[in-house]
Amino acid sequence: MEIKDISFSYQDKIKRLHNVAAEITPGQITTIIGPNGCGKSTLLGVLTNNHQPQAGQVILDGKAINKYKPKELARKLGVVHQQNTAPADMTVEKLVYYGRLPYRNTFSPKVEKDEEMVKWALECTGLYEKRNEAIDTLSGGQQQRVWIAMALAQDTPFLFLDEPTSNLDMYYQYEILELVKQLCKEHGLTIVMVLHDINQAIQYSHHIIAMKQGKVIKKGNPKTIVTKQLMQEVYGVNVVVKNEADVGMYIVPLGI
Amino acid sequence: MMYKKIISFIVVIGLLLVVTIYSMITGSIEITAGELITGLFTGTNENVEIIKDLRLPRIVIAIFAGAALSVSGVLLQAVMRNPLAEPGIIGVSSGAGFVSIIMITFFPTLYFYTPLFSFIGGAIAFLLVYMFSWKSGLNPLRMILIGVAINAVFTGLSEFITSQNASSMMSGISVTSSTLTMKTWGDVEVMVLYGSIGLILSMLLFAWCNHLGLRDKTLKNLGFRVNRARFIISIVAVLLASIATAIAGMFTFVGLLIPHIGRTLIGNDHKLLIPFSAIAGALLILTADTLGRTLVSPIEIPASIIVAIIGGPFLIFLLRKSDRIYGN
Repeated sequence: MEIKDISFSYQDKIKRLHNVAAEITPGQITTIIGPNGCGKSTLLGVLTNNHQPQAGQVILDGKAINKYKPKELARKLGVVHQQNTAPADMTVEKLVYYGRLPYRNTFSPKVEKDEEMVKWALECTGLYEKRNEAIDTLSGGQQQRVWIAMALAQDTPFLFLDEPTSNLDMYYQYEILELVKQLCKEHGLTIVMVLHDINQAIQYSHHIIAMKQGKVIKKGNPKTIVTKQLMQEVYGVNVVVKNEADVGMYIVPLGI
Repeated sequence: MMYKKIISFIVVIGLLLVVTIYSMITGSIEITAGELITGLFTGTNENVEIIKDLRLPRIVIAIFAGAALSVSGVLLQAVMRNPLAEPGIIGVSSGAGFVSIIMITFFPTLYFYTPLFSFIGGAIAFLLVYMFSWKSGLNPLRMILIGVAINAVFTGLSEFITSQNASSMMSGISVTSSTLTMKTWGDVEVMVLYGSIGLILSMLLFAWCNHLGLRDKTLKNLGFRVNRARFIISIVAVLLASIATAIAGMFTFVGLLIPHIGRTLIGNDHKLLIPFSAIAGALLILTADTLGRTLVSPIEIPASIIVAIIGGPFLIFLLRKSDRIYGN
């Protein structure tokens, strides 16, 4: 997937994205980082065709994403949004079946492939046992996994996650990140996500796109691009970058 | 859970049958159920013939109007993602009423087209509410406030016109309540025709209504054409509310009360919620109309007043009993 000089603004007022250009490598995890309001979620919105950029385009398999038919695109990219709503009494399995919408018509019955994919998505996310429970009885971490399961049932090569770990306890944060890693490694999914925690981004991504005020400041391998200077420039936070043989690279914020 | 749903369906269907028969045999002419049934088949009982001409039309209209208004409420709640959306509250009914009153007052010869004018009026009111509340991305509170404002304007305008034309044919009809007296088989035909079309369409749209329980963004990423679905469901909802208003008059509250009862008993799945609301809505208006004409006869209490009087406390009771209202 190619991101070609995207500029975007809401109602022509403040420019949220300035000539953003990047590339998403297939089969790898790319993480977008940056301070609040830097445009990382907006960029994710453009990449998933939820926002139409004023300039530039996003090319997917040789075709601009806004040229795809809605269902056609939905078979290529799955998205897990930060905020989600569903009727409280809906069961996990029913919700995950929504992931099959791009493959079905309103009146067409479920086919074997639908059942297979839903089962696989539920098993991947460890929800198979809970498939008949109402979603409002689940914990926050489990609910997040339900939405991921829905996107997995979509059977897409690309998976986008907007702050998948926000509002979760540390254990559940890592549970989600491990799941993402496994999806990339074992099932070859291309993952693009937005994260707040730099150490999680370093630990789990192949590529990082660091943004500030709608611009890409730096992009590349976390090991090479995450430096004291970059953190100062992007977040305005003084950090030390440590690199230890047993835990790998990490940063420690010191203050502002 | 399934058990509760089946029982709920059996109870409302049973009650509707009982009330229908009771309504046919009770009133200024009293007959027994046996006489009624034999009379309906033989056509020789004079009383049964009178009932067929005078009482049956209003019963059929009450049933269809109740079903139409409740289902319209369910559809609007799905489209607007708002448990308070209801054709009465957001002004669809008063818009429908206003345009038909205008046309009948100034162009009485076009009486035959009342349903069409009603539909246009309902659609205008709905569009206004939708347009003005869209700005904030369908903020539920804002939408209801705008709906209340639109409703107030149309109700006021209708009252103004009827008060200025006291001698016209609309003089006896209040714009804020409903009377089901003097209904003819002609009215029944219109109500049943358009009502059935709307009800059948709404049952076909149940899956889309369910989809709208998710966020727009989520649906878009699933390749679902959200706006097209909204538009089509809205047309059906406006059709149902307008036709009920054109034939049976203004009923507020039915479209709010019945879907709420439905959600507590049946759940949020529109596959069951839509048919349940249709039957329960029919039961409510028919019961209200029957009580209205028998309680203190020969004086009639408008059915809409009875609906409000029984409906209000019942809704409060339900809401206090159950914490599950709508969505999350």
